[in-house]
Amino acid sequence: MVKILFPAVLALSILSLPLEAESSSSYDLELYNSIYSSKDELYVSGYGTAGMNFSSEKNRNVKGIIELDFYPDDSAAAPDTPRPLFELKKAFIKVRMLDNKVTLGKTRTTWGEGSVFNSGDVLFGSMTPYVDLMSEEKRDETSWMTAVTTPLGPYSFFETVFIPPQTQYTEDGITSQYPGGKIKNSSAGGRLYTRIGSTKFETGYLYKGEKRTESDPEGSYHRPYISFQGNIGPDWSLSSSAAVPVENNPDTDIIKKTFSLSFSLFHLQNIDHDSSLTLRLEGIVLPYQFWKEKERILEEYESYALLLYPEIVFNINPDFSFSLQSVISPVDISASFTLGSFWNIYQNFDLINFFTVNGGDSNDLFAWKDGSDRGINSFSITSGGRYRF
Amino acid sequence: MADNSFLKSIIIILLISVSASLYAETAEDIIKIMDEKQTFETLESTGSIISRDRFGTKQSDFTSISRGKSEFLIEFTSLEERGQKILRTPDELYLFYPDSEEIIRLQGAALRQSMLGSDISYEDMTEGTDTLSRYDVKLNGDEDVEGAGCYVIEMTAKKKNVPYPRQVVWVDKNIYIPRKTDYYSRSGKLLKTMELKDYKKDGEKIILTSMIISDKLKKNSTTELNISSYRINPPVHPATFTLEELTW
Repeated sequence: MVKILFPAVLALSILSLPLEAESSSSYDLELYNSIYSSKDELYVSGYGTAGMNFSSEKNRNVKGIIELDFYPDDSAAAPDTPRPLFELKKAFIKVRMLDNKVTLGKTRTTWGEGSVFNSGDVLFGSMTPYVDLMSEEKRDETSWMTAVTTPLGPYSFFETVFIPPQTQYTEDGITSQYPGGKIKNSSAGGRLYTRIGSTKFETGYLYKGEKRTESDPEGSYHRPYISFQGNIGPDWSLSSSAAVPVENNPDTDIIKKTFSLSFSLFHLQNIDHDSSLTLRLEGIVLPYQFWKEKERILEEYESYALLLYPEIVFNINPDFSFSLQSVISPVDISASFTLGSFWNIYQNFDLINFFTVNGGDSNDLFAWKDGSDRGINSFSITSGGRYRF
Repeated sequence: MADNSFLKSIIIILLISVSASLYAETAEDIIKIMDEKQTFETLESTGSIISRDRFGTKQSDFTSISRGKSEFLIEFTSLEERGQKILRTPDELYLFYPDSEEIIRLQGAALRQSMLGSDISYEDMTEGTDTLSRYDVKLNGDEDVEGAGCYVIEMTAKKKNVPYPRQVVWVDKNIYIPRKTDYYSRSGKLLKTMELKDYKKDGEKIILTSMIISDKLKKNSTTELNISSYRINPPVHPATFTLEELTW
């Protein structure tokens, strides 16, 4: 995430352009007050995002979308201190060319299956245990990319992707002499999305020229993946991937260490005509990582061998629901639980409450008290609203 | 001569009986005609779902394109869900969320999820007009609905796990449209009522353009489904009912 002044300047210049009639705009406000505990003290914070979305309309062959996130900040920092005020979340064009669809700009494409744990997501790496359970989209990272999608039938397509290297910034926010990076640090690959009988099948490969996510090791890697999805009563999915070093790597076990298998199960049970219960279980297994608890905090792309994400949502009626979500680390017996309530009171307005609590020892993945300066730990109570207009 | 006259009379009576029995409609015939009248080669429409309760009114707008009985592509155009799409083909149902650029394939119980928090499930919205494949039907006489003579048909779901295991539909005897439908729980409790408010005729075909669904378990809770504009048999691009169009 690049949250510095360059996107802010870009955003302001975009906003100053006249918006044509063939476009639509919408604004999202997501604002919360939160009480949280850290280092034996209680703190309180007001935070949230304000998003703006501009989309082109009524053109069957070209589409453009700009999405900006603002971070309202009420800080006592000196005026000349760089503050993370804006993020250019999305800015892309889609064009139909012959039978292909070309996407250019900053956006997202989701490979594999799984909302929290997805081994198939070799682009953005949906494997880390730290997920914002209060967010609607659990994994929503975007990246600059050029993608070409070629249809191969009603339910099949092939997608090729090219991702240029990220520009490296120095600590004072000044870019390097060369925006982007060396060509060898680019990432490129493709995926096939199709059906085999009643099972969805997806497979792909990405050459990843640089570390882009927390779950990536340093260096260049080949990242093949495979993914299946079907229904056997509950919906199920399986995805798997590994990182194969391009160059000689001192860590000879790197393929083993990065080999992962993620799975998901989903079932919806109607309780009566108005209410329902949805049950989701996702998990990721890294069989060659740690099956025993470590004394120290895990480093780099180290991980415990098993992580689980159970989710229960009780929809009392179409407008009101409760949810219980958790990320569980069975190896060190720690977990983070988030209890939420959602009430869609008025058109486009939701009242949202969350209670999050961590349970675990100080060196566990989720610690009641980890003794660090990481900000929130132990628990937090968050209350606020979401409005789109 | 007398014998001949008697024989003629018998033949005439038999012929009248046979022809009468040919025209006596069964519940299956009535439902089949009702479905046929609402099935189009292709249909493009724009509409809205308006929910009213004690907190006010919520509206979701959509555009829809359909081909035959079981191919639909619906795109939501109202603010909250703008760009979300549903693709229904004879054997698949997919959702597309523009925020995550993600294709979600719905199967099994997931099809019964509430669509955009409304009283309507994804399956309801796109299930098409092949009623007899999903329900056993029985004719239970006739009644008037707001002055229109109607067949009363009881429909029992063939599958167990459905939101409304039993429905009673009042089908207009002249134009074969559902004037009213009652939705019951498995225990026989009346849950919802649909009343047709308006329709448009186009030759032999009929489009239901306005209907109100009242929740009988909640006070002052209604959902209104309106079709504001439509085009019958517009040309449809060959790739309309594919993942390519879904993700556009």
